[in-house]
Formats: sequence, C-alpha cells, structure tokens
Amino acid sequence: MITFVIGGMTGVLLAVPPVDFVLHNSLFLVAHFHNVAIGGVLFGAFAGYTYWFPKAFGFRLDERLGKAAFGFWVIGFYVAFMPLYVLGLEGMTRRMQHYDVSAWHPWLIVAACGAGLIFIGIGCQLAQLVVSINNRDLLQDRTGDPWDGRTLEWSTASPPPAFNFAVMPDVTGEEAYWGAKQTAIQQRRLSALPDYKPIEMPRNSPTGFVVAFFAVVTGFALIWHIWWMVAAGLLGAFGTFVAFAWRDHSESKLPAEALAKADHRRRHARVAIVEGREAGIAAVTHTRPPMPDPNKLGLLAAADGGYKGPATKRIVTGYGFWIFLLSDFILFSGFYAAYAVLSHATAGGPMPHRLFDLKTVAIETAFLLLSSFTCGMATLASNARNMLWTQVGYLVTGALGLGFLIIELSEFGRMLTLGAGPGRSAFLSSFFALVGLHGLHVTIGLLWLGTMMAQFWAKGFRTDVLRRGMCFALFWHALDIIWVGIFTNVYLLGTSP
Amino acid sequence: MSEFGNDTVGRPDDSAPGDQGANVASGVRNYLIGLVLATGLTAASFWVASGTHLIYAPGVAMALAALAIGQMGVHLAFFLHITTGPDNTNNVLALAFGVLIVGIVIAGSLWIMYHLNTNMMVPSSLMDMHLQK
Repeated sequence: MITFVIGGMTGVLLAVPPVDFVLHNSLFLVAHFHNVAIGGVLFGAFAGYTYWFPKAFGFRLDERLGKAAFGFWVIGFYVAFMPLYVLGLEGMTRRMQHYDVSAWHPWLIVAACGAGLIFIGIGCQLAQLVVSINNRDLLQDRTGDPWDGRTLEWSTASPPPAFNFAVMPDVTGEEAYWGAKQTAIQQRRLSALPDYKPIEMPRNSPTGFVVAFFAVVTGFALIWHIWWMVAAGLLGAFGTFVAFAWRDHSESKLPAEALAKADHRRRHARVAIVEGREAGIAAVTHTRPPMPDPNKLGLLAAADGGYKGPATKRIVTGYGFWIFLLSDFILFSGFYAAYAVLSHATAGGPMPHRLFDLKTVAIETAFLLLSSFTCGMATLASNARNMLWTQVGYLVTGALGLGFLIIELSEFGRMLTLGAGPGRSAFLSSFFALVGLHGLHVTIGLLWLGTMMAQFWAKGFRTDVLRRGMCFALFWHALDIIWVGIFTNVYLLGTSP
Repeated sequence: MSEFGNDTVGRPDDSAPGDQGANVASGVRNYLIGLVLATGLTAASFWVASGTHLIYAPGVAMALAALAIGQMGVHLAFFLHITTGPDNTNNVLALAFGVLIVGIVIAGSLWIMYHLNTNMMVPSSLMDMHLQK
C-alpha cells in the first residue's frame, strides 16, 4: 500500500510537463514505474496466487517459505529501487553501458544489494512451490474453505468440480456464503439437503485453440508476405468455424444422481467444520461478532418467491454478444480518434476533399442501410419460422453487403493508382486503417451470413441456430452504426468546405 | 427440439438485445420506421455537407455530429431494439458504459493531442538529445 502510494506520488511529479522534460528517461522514471508495477501489480498478483492456490489445486502453499519470500521481496524492493530515485535526480539516465561519475557509485552498489535480496525472494518462491508440491498431503485443503472465506467460491470443494455449484446459490444480499456459514455454525448443522436438478454443461471443444493456431499461421505469413500461407491460415480458421457451427450436440446433461454424489463428498467435509472437528476454522468461530439476522441477509428470500430463476439462454447469449459489440465499438473509437487526430497530417500529400467522391459514399451508405433493413426482415421471418423469406432476406442482405464491399475496394484501388496509398501520409494510414477495419468486419459478416443461411437450410429453425441468427443480426446492425460514424467523421467532414 | 429447450419465449422482465414482440406486422412497421428515419437523417447529413447556405458555415461540423448521433440513436432503437423499457435495463446500462468509454477515448485523445501540439512544441535543437553534451 505504502509502496504503491510512493509510486503514485512520483507519478504525479512526472505528470508535470517541465519536470517530465528534465526527468525523461532518467532513473527517477525507472524507479517510479517499478514502484507502481511491483507495488501495485506484482505484489497483488502474488497475494492472489497465495490466496487462490488451494482453491485451484487442492492444497495450500508452504507458509514459512511464503513469509520469507515476502520479507526478501519487500525489503529487497526498497533497497533496490529507492536509490534509483536519488540517482535519477543526480542525472543518471537509464540503460547505460558504463558510467564515470563517482557520486553514483555507492547508490548503485546499494541497488545491486537490493536486487540480490529480490533474487533470494524469487528463490524462496520457487522453493515454496517445490516444497508445497512435495508436502501436498500435509497441506491438503479438505474442506474447500481453508481461510474461512467470505465469498461464494469458498463454498465449493477444492479444486472445484467442472459444474462449480451443484445447486445454483441463491444470492439476495451481500456475503451470501458468510451468512449461510454463520447459520450453519450457530445451529451446528448444515442446511437441509437441496433438491438436485440435472445441469446442462457445455461440451469441451478444441475450437478456440485450433482457430488460434490458424490465426498465428496467418499473422506470421502476413508479416513475411507468404501469400499462400495467408490463404491457408484463413481457410483453416474459417473451416474450423464452420465445423464448430455444424455441431449438433453442444451440451451434455449432468444427471442429478452424479451431482448428488459429488456434492455429498463436499457436504461431508463441511460437517467437520460445523461440528467443530476441523481445527483451525472452528477455533476462530467463537471470536466472531454475533451473526446478523438471516432475514436481513435475504437468505430466506427463496421461500417468498422473489427469485425467478436464471435468465433464458437467448437472453444470456444476446447480452453477452451485446457486450462484445460494445467492446468492438470501443476498438473502433480508438481508430476514430487516431483518424481525427491525424486527418490534417497530410505530409504535403493529397487532402481529403481531393480524394473522396461523395456520390460513391452515398451509394455505399444506401447499400448498407438497405441491407440493415433486409437483415431485420430476415430476422422477423426466421422468428416466424418462414424458410423462404428467411433465405430471401439473407440473400438480399448479402448481395447488398457484397455490393458495398466491391464499391469500397474499387475506391481503394482508385486511390492507390493516384499514389494515395497508406504509406503516403499519416492521414492516409489512419484512413485506410479505420475504413479498412470496417470493410474487414463486413467481409467477416458476409462469411458468417453464408454460414447462417446454410445452417437454417440444413438444421431448420432450431433454437440454438435462431440464437446465432439473432447475434448475426445484431452484428450487422452494429456495422451500420459504425458506418454512420465513418461517413460523417471521414467523408462528410473531410469534404465539407 | 426438446434437447435444446424452448427459449424463444422471454421472461416478462428481461429481454435480449434485438428481441421484439412476436407480431410480424408490427415488426415490419418498426423496421420501416427505422429505415425512413435513418434515410432522412443520412440525406440531411449529405445535404448539409454539400455546402448549403442555410447553415452558418462554422456550425456545419456541429450539425453533422448532431445528425450522426441522432442516426445512431435511430439504429439502436429501431434495428437493435435497445429501448428504455423495464425489460432492457441491463442492455441500456451496458450501452451507457460503452458510450462513456468511447467518449473518453475520442474526446481524451483529441484534447491531449491538441494540448501537446499547442503547449509542448519545443525547438527541434532541444528535442534532439544526441546533440546535447
């Protein structure tokens, strides 16, 4: 905490432009960002590693070595980086191959000692991992709640089963698990055996890994201009996508008996806590403040019917996709901002109003707007389960989208023949990046649309296919919104007098 | 069909973005209204940009921005069916957060870059650190 505050305060100093100008690239800056990164991020990550290690692997980490690692790290950190502030103020820059200022020497020796301490800290952590794995039977987390936790993940077994919770926890107030645990300890028994219902689990699928592999191949080939490999990578990724879309069984049901059996083991371990047989946890219990009224915690709310159960898959899917689209908008906002900042940096090259032809842009806009409308019609038809109009709607949408893409590409081609390629000026780089990114989205949308039509044709109006259709429609409409921003920001503002 | 369950019938207090009532006629009308409004706003934007004298010239950029934001709203309401209804709270909240981030990214970039351009232009001899002894 203190470490992070020091980092923050020095950051404020560096944010003052005159100070920053003097301290730029000095060891003061190096000390500052290590202060923030180590104190804020790294120590936080270490804490999380120690805290959740038993939840993930079923046994705790060795405590003695952990404390030693903490000590060496914190002390080593101060010894290593505080001298760098002084050195920075004395004018030392970073990444020097040698130095001939004798005043720096003692500080650098101190910093080297600090680095040594940190090195010992790292050694302690490695030793801690090895020792803990060797002693895993001794350090085993039998109850799933080794720290007497307050949050719901500690109500599962360690390591947690694939289905996480055998029965969906009913959360109506803050700290649902803490409240339930207090009730159980007070009454010296667990809550009544729940009514286990089968859980639908998504099947494991290697799709993500396979697509990532092809993406890496594509990226590598694009960097080195190996065009046949680019094509192979893209084809592979698209093929994987189609194969994944074609699956008939995306979920499997976990029967109630299996759940009950797995949960029984967990509850058995819990009985030990509640009855005070598991030392360490019960010992803390009696020093706790009195338990709050369970009615206030809302633990009994399930009885009065305030809870309507989880949302349907259609709602959850749609919401998730909506979040993805919003993140896509944020991605585009970065490209918009880059364009807005750089649109005047023409480097003596062509200006926007000499390049853009508003008539073409108007046709492109009309195509995309109409396709958004026909896409809506196709969605209506698919919801009404009308195959003919669904396919016609998607076909027209695809044709309009393709038309848009062809016009856009011919515009790009025209600009390239005029010598106005992305390499000409910062304005043109940001233009091609922004408009090209949108064009890429349209291309992906067209591929998706083709797959969508084939799925409706082959699989009929199955609910999972309908869900995908809904996501596609959202994607297509979102592309139109982004285009509104582009034709205003780029074309209209660029050509208006 | 039974394996996937029937999830097209939403709950009364929650709905997916893009979902609308089951009535086809009202759905078509909804998209038609959206199309007409969006076309009108697009046409207005192009008309403003083509150099009309009805609008005070320095205000053209502002007018274009207003028309664009209006059209984005039309698309959201009539095509993506993001409404202010009680069943749409989650979607609208997510949208609000997205708009906030987009605003910070765009306005923040323009602000900072403008500030740097006006306040931190130093003579090129000072910027070239290699020349300093």
